[in-house]
Amino acid sequence: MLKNNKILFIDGGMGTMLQKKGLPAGKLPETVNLENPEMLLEIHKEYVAAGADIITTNTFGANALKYGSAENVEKIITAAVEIAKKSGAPYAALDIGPTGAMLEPFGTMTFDEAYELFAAQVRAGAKAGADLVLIETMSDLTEAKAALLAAKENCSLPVAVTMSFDESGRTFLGTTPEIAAVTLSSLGADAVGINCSLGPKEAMPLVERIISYSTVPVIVQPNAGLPRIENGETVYKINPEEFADYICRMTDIGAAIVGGCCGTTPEHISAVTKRLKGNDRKEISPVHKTAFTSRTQIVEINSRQTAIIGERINPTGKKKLKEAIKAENMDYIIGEALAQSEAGADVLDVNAGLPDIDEAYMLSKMIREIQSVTDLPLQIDSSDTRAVEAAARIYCGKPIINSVNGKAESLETVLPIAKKYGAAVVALTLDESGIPDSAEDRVKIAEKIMHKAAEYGIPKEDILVDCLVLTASTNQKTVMETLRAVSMVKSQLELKTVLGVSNVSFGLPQREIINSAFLAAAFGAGLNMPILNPLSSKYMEVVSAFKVLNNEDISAEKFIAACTENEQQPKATATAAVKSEYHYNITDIIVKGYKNMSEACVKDMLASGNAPLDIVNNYFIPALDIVGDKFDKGEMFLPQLMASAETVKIGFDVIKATMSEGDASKGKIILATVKGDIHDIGKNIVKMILQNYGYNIIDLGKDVEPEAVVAKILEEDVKLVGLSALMTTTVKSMGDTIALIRKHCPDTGVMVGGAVLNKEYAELVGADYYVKDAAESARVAEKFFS
Amino acid sequence: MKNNINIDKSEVLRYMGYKGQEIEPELENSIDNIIDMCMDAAEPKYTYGYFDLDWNGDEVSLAGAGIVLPGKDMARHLYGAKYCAIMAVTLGMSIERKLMLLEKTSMTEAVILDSAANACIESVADYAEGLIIEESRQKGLYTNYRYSPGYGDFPIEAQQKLIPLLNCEKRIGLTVTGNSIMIPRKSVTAIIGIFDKEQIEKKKGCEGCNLYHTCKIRKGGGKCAEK
Repeated sequence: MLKNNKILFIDGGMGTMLQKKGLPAGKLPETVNLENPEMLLEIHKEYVAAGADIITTNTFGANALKYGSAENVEKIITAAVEIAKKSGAPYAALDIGPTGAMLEPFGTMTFDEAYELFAAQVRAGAKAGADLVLIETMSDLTEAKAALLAAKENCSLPVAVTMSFDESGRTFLGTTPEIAAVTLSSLGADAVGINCSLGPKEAMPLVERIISYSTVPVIVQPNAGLPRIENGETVYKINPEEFADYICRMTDIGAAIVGGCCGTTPEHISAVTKRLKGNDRKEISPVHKTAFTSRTQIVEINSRQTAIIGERINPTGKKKLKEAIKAENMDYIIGEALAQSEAGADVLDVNAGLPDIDEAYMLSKMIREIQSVTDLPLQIDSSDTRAVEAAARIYCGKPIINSVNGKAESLETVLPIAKKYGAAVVALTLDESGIPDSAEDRVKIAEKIMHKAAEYGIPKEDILVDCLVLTASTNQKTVMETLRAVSMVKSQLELKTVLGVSNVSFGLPQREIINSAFLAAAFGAGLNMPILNPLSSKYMEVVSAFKVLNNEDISAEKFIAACTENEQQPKATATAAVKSEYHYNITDIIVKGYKNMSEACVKDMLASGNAPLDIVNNYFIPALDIVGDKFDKGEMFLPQLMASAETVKIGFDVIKATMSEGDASKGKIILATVKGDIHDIGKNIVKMILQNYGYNIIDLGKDVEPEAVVAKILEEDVKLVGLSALMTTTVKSMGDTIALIRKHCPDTGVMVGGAVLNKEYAELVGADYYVKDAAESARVAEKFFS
Repeated sequence: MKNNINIDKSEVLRYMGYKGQEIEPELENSIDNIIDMCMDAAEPKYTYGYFDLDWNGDEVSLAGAGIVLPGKDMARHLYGAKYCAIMAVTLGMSIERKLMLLEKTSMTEAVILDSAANACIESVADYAEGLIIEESRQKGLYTNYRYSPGYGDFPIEAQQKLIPLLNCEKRIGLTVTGNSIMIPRKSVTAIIGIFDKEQIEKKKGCEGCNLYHTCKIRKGGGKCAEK
């Protein structure tokens, strides 16, 4: 029905109409479905009379979060669908709005919880006989995805998804029309579009943008003008004729399904249908693009463009990353992500492949945490299809899956996942008989994968062929064969290419030189996306130089800017080093918080024979004590305390590099912000100080279940736990957590802190120690472990 | 609207517990930069509405909506009011994202941005309150001051009612969790009484401050209002 070649008309505002007919402000609008169905029917009929083909059920907020139970939801939705169908409209659309709660990482609702709320709505609506599902007014791309998957997995109806953008051209959570169009149409929405927030005039340019990126029909439901608050009322000022003018311009450029949102009335819809009823849609042949997205960023490449995939989050051959993944040390993993992003990566590969771990759990966790701090699209890298699917499911945006190959089993397991979750996929040119020697045979495998993908409905733009590099030291003859395959894939199959660059030099000295030469040659052969270590300046120099030659870095602007910056840098470092040598000792540096002098000074101290642990015990800790004391006396204030702590942290990192893990640890401490609370900053301040004092901190993050704290205590045999709560409402879950700790780990001590706490309150919730600030936490820990 | 808000550096310092300590030039610089960054990243939004009041003995509720505003303090706040204004303001999600990132990269900067955002949202709240004052003035009416969930005995749980009442999710992207935490966190809701007669401007003490529960100055035994 959504693929109809005529323009379809959807109804307009419901809230405004209900209020006009006497629904008091503050009353849940869906209660009308049961209490006053006649009033609702009347509104629907007015829209049908105005020419609407699709009537939206009055179920925007009809979820179990707002109405208590799935039974209530079913009652309300069943009534709503029946009333909508009774109105005489050709189609009834089950309306689904956001849950009303913010999802992780910003809020506390999980992806699965949101999914379940939506699934209950979908099942009720489909059972009651809705003709399609309309997911609307979304501002969180993850939430839109949860709703879309819930719709597709719980009914067979067509699904349209609209998001709301404000005047900046982004949703409240930062998603652009292009990102929404690419992500949602790849995920299998039958129509995508925009609604609410803006009037038709402001929406116009966004409609154009969404049309040029969507591969499915575009739906538009603007407000009757930009909302203005006048005397406490939200008012919309575009009249029906003016509204219709804009809508006509939208259908002229290809909008296929049109209607209204807040402030629009049957008069607005009538004005639109009078002008457009019976008209054919403007024919547009949708252009598939090679594009990957995150919540806020899109990376798009045409056949001649390059993009860098950062390879560092892969534990193969990396001891520290292995340890971090095993220990779920997210700070280390996030550090790798941020460093690569800083160095200029466009996409990050994420791999959690270690034996003896739950890879599906860990890969999803890493994806979620990395997405909470970086905007780069990610490449989900695993040979475990269960892990790939789990990660692709919760990923916010359109990811790349790494990888599928020519083996029948791989094709049959990976391609359906890529299709279902709207991912691009790396295609390795190997099959049951291994990696072919000749370029021709590799191209054949690429072609086979392309055809098979097409059978699953995956467009060729989403296939990224990896022609596979063998090491020059053992397979010298095949290196150029790989590059020949790259250029054949580009010219014969017109597919984009990726290539892991670093392998080629394995077993040779000066690997960076070999890799750089190979990278340049690969670019020449038509490589689009090298997978490499962006922290290597040699590779990035090749990349930025090639971008000049390839006419990507227009007027060599970026290249020139980077060169100028590089020339200035060495001087700055030299002065810092001089200063650290001659003017300050480490105590001064820490107390003053001179972060940029810390590294050089500690290196000097190590070089002149100080034992690492002596530096910690004889310099760091006494200096931190001075800082803590000054902070207590009010001679220093919070940012100064933090600057000192960061200064020590940098020094500590230098020390740690010289010793094996655990040598410096004075004891393990678990830190967590309690269930329901998302204010993490206080806990993070404490964490930094305690790490400085040499404690091994296991940071469980925010919104932590009591059970998770207890499980970790038992697993790691931890004797001291620090809990943080910032709200009066979450102190209760602090009490619950402590009670559970007492029950299962009676000999573990608990210290608590947080803005609403005081000594009495801390006793009330059953804590052993109250810490009024971060400096105090170090004293408590010292006493505890002595 | 950004032209109408500002971040007062002395407020930012006060939120961080500043009591006249000597500040190194590097930190000074960093504070200035982060205040600018905060202004850049802020996406201030507001909404408000007017509501009639019902009284049942000492208990006040919003007419029509049937929402009770519990507590003696709220009853006192609205006693004698013709009606009330309810407002909600937020700095939006990008500050939230910046804070999450800085907590991973530099706690010093995170602490400063947190305080800058506190000062910034107060300024946005002042702006929205100003609109309400002005509209009231034009009708010959007078306002008292803004009073928020969590002040005095007006429970923080009131957020659960006020935020949907103003349709905050749709209009300004503001939501509330089951534990009454607003997201984005740098947000304020408040109730202002509107009266026939001029109200004696009560000096805003700690009780009337959005940071009542989380204030580091108050915890240290100080008061920022005693400038």
